[in-house]
Amino acid sequence: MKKLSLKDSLFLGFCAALLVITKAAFRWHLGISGHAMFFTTFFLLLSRGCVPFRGAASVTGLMAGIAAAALGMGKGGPLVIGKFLLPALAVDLGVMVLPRVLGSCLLCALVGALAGATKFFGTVAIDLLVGMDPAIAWRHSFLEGLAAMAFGAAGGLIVPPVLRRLRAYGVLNHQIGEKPS
Amino acid sequence: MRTVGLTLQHNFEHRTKRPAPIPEGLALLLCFGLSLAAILVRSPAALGWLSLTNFGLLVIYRPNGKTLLRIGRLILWQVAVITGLHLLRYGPAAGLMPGLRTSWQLLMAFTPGLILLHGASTGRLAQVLSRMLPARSAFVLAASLKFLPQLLAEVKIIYEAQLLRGARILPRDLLHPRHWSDLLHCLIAPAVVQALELADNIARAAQAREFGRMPRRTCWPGNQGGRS
Repeated sequence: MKKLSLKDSLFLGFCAALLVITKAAFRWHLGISGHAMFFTTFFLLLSRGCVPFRGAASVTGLMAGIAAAALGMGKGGPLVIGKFLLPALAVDLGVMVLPRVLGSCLLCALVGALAGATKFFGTVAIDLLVGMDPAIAWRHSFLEGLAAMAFGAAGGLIVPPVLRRLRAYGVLNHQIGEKPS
Repeated sequence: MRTVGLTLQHNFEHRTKRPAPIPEGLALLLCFGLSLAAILVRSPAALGWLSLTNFGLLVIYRPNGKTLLRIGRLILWQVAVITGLHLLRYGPAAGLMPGLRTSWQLLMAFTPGLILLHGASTGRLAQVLSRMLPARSAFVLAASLKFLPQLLAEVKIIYEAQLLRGARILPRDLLHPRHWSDLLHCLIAPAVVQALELADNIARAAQAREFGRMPRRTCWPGNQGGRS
């Protein structure tokens, strides 16, 4: 597997930093459950689309998770790493299974929804850890997961037009959806 | 390259002069520990001690009114959702106290980070992070956090320039879905281009300084007078 270049790593770092700050900023202002998944899937799919590296989204998710955990952001303490990493793994998996996903709005929305669905697992783990009644925990996580899927799909929808525009500018040297390194 | 050099100089010159109430490394550990404790403790007494510690952090960092307002909003939202679900499931008598306790626990997990984010210098936090991770990852993470304000400033310039060009990307314009394509084409795509360019500049500047050649010298300077 080709090594990730420093420039690409830094770009993924910017995506991770932007992901963390948008997630923090918009949570406070809106207070709508799951809406932060919009930005999560957008930045994860964007990082995977701009960097032709098989695990680009996972690297972004991991960096965002480390930054968020170190800064104590999110309700899960150190478990917040998983909240960023799980959707990132879903995105990488989605792109691996469907290589042309980044060129199609519909497929991007599908992968975004899949990434959003991972919120269910993160929420249920934290709810059970804090000692919430399992019935309430499952219900709470289901509601959170459902909202996250909707916002995740919306975040995925806007990625292909941005990537097409970047390609038109000549910024991306690789073909979108090409076989990754 | 020159831009990056100037920015570095700018960052060092404009570092906050106010001494941190708690060293950033200790503050990060404290924040990590308090968040973890909040999701692990069960007894009301332990939660009470945790709340007192968080209150102590609030007193030490003295966050501004805006931060306090955000914490207040968070309390209201959290309590409403969690307690509401408990009340629906168990009724008012049996559901109220467990709902309030869980909401309080989740709030205690979130508050330390919120206080730290507003009270500590991001630059210093990034330096502390660079001591905990492998050199390359630490450099990438620290550089991304350090240059993020510059990237945001450049995005703001793009936003204002596009407004002058007539792009319909004001918040009131974006209420109409017809204008969302303007946001994508006039702001988001150029912002990504800017991020890629900035990443390229930083990478070239680092490589010009033999980044990665020595295993222990590739981190961002650990002190104000340090060299990369």
